[in-house]
Amino acid sequence: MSGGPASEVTYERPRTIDEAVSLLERHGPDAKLLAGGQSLMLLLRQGLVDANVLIDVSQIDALRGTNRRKGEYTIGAATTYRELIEDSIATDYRVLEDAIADIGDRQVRNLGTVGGALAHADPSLDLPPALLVLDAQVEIAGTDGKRSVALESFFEGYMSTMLERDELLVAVTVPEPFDGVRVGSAYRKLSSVKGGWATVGVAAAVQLSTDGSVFEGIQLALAAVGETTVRARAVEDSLIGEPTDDESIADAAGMVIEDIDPIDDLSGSATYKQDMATTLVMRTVDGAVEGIMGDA
Amino acid sequence: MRARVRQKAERDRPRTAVGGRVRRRDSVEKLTGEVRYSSDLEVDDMLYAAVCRSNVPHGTLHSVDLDDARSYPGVAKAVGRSDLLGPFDDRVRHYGDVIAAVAADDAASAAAAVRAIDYDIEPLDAVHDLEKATVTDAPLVHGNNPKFSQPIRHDLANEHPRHSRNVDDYHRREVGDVQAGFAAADVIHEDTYLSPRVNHCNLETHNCIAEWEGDTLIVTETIGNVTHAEHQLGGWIGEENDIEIRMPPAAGSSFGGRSLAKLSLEPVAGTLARETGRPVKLWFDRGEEFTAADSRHVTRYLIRAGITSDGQLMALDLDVVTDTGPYPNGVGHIVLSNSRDRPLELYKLDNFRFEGVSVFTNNTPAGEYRGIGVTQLTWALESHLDELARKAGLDPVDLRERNLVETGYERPVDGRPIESCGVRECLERGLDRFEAVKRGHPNHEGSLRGWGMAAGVHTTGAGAAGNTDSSEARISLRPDGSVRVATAAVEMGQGSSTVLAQIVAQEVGLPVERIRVDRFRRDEGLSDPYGSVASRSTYIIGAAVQDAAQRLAATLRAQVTDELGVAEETIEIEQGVASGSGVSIDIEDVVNEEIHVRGRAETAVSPPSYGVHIAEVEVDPSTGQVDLVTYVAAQDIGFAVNPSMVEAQLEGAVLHGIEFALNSELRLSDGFPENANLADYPAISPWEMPDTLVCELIEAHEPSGPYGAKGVGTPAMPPIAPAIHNALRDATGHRFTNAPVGAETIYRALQTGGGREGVV
Repeated sequence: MSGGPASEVTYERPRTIDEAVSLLERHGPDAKLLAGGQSLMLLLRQGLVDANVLIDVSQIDALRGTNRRKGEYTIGAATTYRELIEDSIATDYRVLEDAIADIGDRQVRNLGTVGGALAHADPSLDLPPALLVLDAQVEIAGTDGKRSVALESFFEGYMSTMLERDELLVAVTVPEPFDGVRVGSAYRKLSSVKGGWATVGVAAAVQLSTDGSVFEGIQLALAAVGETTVRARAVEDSLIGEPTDDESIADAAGMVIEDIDPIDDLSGSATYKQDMATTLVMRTVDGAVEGIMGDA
Repeated sequence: MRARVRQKAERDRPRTAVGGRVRRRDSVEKLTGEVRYSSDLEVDDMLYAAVCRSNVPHGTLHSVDLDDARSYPGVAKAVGRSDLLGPFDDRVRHYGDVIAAVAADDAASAAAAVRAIDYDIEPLDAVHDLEKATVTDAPLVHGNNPKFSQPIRHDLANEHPRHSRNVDDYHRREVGDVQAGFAAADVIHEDTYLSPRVNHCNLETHNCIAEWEGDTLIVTETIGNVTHAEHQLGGWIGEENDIEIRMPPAAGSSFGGRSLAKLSLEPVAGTLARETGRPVKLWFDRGEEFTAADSRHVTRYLIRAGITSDGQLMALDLDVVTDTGPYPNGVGHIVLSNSRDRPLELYKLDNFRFEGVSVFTNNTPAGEYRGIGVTQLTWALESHLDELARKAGLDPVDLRERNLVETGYERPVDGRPIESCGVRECLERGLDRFEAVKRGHPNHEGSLRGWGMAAGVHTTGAGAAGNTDSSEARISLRPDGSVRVATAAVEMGQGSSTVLAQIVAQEVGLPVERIRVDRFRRDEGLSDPYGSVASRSTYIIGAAVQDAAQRLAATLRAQVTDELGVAEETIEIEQGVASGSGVSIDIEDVVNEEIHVRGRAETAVSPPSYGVHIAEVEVDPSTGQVDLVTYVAAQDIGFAVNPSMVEAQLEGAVLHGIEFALNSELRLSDGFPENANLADYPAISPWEMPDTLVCELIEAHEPSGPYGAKGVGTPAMPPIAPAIHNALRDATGHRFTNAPVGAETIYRALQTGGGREGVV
């Protein structure tokens, strides 16, 4: 029995996206991208991931910060949780504020990054469902140039994404709220301690009729109930065109069982998570609706 | 013992230094980050150690190949388990047990070299289940009561035939006639309780620097009980070697975690230091902290209690099994003795039977943790009595009131009367305060709200029938008016340096800012058997400091008399100024050369400190989540030398108690840890603390303590978890007998029915 071979780790700190891409190309599967380190360092320390080369992308200016242009927000992949929650996008979209406020602790929020949360693709993370319900797109850079894909298709499996070995996530884009459309959003999470791993997390974004009485559109996504962050299409489909009353929401919430596939783990049993998903879908949709009605 | 009963007039003196909310002496240096903890320390020529640890809970170590580790760049030494100084045989007995260790120029090289170690372990059948540990065909972790250096060891007697193997310790006690008691009882209740494997989660993980001077192993680290730790280490590494423990400038917290040495810390660093002739630093990472340092003993209580229909306690029968883990450290004994004796100091029990066994298992090590055994016992006992009262249709408060001890009650523990017992005042004032501050109605529609209370007791210090506890102190007053105090106290964050300075300031009449309490130094040669453990710092070390300070005051008065020519009895010294008969003088103008005094105190009693805590919870029935709405901690501390720090002790205890009751446990699956890191182990933060937390200080005045003071750090712990669980019972109608009780368990209980119907 052996603890495995000892390894020297090479640390690289590129200044541009091109440099990062060429480092990825050069080192192939030996390399891991590092930004805030809030997921990777734990895995490295536990020996669950081995990396001979760490490419720290946190100093690439083009990956940092947010801007608002041509009807959409662009969030650089190395933007930290804290930077995002202090940005105006988190005011427009309460779902982001809710989700980030419940992530870890201040230290984690100061270091953890948006790109890290998405590329890590751990279904228990809180930010991915929040971005999913905002119809986010991800910008990817690689040897063959840039491409843009819907966040939903970005996640391929448990801790697995469509990123190729020579690619990195550059930015996330989210459409600005349209003028005149009543949009509300919220994130609700159940965890054993504040800031801990989600037992279940639910993100919702809703668009209501002018008088606020009918769901004209709804996006729902859940954390910690499947291989990936999942969209709750069964619930969405049954709520479109329905009134925004408690009964309709409660009826639809039960449909979430069709959308999810939780497992037994440290945070709870699969059956508990199913029940909690139903409860949290109700509460989150309520929260999103109340956000709008409160603004009215 | 030295009489320390204060005259009433003296007691009523205005509380200046003593009794005041004096700011902690070390608060600024801690806040500004100037303080240096042991983990900050580096010495010249130092090597860094890393340990190769077992990833199986039990196995025979056939071989260790250190060749690759030895040739790793920067490695000075690699040693296998059999090369280590200490009781290391060819068997690993828990996940995290030592296989080999490396010392290198830097920590990263040491860690990398450890990964290059190859070894061959043949897994063995292992013991994990408390109930199966002592049966005749259980795999053997150790022979019964093995020879193994530990601070408290006694011969096993009356060994129960059911417990034939893996017995660390065994206790039995009978008072009165339990059978007759149950026969006379109208209502009898029996249930089983299982306590959690909670970890201290000290921010600073265990670490030490080991070096040798001749045959003396010098270990620099924070240790609460220096005497016991030196005894342990001496036994482990060989009696031909001397041990010296040196304190770092400041300590990370302990909560019992730093009371004793750790088998895979000091002996490992000590071996590498000896082999290399250089100082070696070993610093546990968080995973090692969980699996190679100690957690609280998982303990199973089978309780049977009987009362008359009007609530008189007729009989109590306790059957206890506690999991001390893979190696003996004397602490299983304390879990048992505290479980055995504390019920008799809380309730008037004529008929009592106790049987307890501490067992070896291949689970991760258990050790000292704030309120050893008494925390688990009180949770189980107070849950049980609460349930018994409800079962009998009685008010749980009335049941307590009817049976609680009082001042003058002669405990069966040692036949001596309790000199100060504030438990009834805790109950009365605690409930009054709770009525005034409680929320009373749910914060959220549909929530279940409930409240509950629990009493608790723990003793102060280590005095007992047949055991004298004592301490010594030395005080030096310099010509510039500044004071240095040397004591046996180890400041681990509990605030002893501040409290002891207050005592000197009070007795001598000096500003507290002028007094500096030195960190513990063994070469001061102060006689003291235990150090800072068992909530004894203020009580017995404080008494020694008080004695020395009174001697200093007398000396000073005599010098002032000579200087001013006024009668000694007219002299008052306050804030560093001596005055009498209309004249005054700064004391630095009186002291021409340094004055040294020595003080001593001893006691043959360990006064019990009482608490009654009351909790109000709100439960979300749709999720099972618990919100701790209101909490009142009414605690009899004898006398509050520093009320702010007493409150801080209580608040800190509440945090630990909430973790025990609701949140935290190191989960093991057949000995393998499932959450040995702080991402998965749910340590709580201020978010989980009560929305309203009130401390009610009761000062029952203990005649044997300085100014009437008793301990608080440990006695604050026991009532917390049961108060919360009794509140949960009130809110949900369900009695939870396994801790911690998480949201899912509560949710399931509510789903499966019972609900509030069970509530009387």
